[in-house]
Amino acid sequence: MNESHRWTQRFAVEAVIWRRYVDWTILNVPFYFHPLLIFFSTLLFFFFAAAARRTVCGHFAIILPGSSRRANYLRTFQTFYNFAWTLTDAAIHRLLKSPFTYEFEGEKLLNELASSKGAIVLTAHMGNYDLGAALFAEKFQREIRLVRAPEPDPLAAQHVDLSLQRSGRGAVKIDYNTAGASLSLDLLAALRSGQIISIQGDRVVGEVTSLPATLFGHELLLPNGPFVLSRAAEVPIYPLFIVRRGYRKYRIIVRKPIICLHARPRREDDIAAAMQQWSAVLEEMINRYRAQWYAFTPIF
Amino acid sequence: MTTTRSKIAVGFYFSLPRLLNKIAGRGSHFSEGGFFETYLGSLVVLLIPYFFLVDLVMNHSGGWLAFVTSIVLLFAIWIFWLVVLYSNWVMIEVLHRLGLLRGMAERHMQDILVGLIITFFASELSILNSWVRWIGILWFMIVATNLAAAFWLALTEMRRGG
Repeated sequence: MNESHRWTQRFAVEAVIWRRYVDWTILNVPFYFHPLLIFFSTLLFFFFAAAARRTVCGHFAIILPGSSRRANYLRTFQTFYNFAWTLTDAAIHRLLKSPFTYEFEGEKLLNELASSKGAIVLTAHMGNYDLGAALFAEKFQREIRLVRAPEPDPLAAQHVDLSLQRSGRGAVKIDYNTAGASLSLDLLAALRSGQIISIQGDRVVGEVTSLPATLFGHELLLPNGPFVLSRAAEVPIYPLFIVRRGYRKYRIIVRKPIICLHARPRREDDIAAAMQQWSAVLEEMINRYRAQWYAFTPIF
Repeated sequence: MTTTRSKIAVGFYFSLPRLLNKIAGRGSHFSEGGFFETYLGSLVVLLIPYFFLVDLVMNHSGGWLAFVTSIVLLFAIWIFWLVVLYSNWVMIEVLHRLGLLRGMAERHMQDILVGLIITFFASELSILNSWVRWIGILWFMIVATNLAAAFWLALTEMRRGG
């Protein structure tokens, strides 16, 4: 590996250096610098993270057919800006333990989820999903297992692991969805023993099993693992999202559980029906909070 | 249906709003990172050095060049603060290693240094012959009232304690 390649990797968008920069800022810079630094850092990433910018802009063209390219670039900037704030908020929560304001949509369902014996939380790369898991564990004093896509940078992955464990005060356990069959069996056993598992269901990464679904009239692949697990363990799937509503203000949204039953002769049909329900919820949420859908790699 | 569940207690970081809050009967609760102080603070650290630099540079350029320069200056302010904040941090680390001011968090020590820098820019603004001098004067008024409020709060806390 030559020196220039090493240098590029060190400062790549997904590199750990940026996460460390956020942590350093939270600990060492007065809070009234945050909006200024976030705005200019967003501008920097907006210009240099060309692949992510094009991808997000392309998604907007699908979500909002007929929308102008210029408007979609502005929406893309807004998405980057929101993402910067969510990273900052997660770091503030973890490092300073500062309070946040929360609203609930579907609070009854959230309580139902917290008291359930085994359940799957299905979420998306939307809002502050990492903060959501930590808050859930903190509020309900329940352990939660978070299944995530691995970070491309190993040091960044290590940083995310430690961050989640710290912010969840040890109640958030992380699994990576690359471990294959052994992880599936492990998760199934966890569900049967009454644990709660959180999975991101809006993106297929690597070798993860998937099935076709429809989103915004476009066919795409969505991970079918959560539905297979739900059917096998006979536990409900709760769609849950945590979106940013303003300065240090979040909304936790829980939707009616998706029940993946042994209702049809073919297993695939049960799973396809449940996946269709999920894609409808996902479409509604993306439509409502489109500038908080952090899909930086192509989904469609 | 949406239910608001958790609310942050109303509190402020700077002494002046804390004193005003106390006078209004809501107590002088200390809180770091309230919306009002965060955004107003960001505007101050951006605009005071910006007006100073604009005045410095615009005397030598006009037309399109002035417009481009005014945009570039915004980025220059950002870079300037990054360098300043990092240099301050290095200095604070050295002080901490020497065993000085260890009880004070880095970001709170930065306040003093940032305040001095802003005051320098504000003093330069306040002697200019244009409307921006009022921004410099306003800054001095804010600093003075904030210090007076800090003194007053400390005094009342001491009286209550003693």
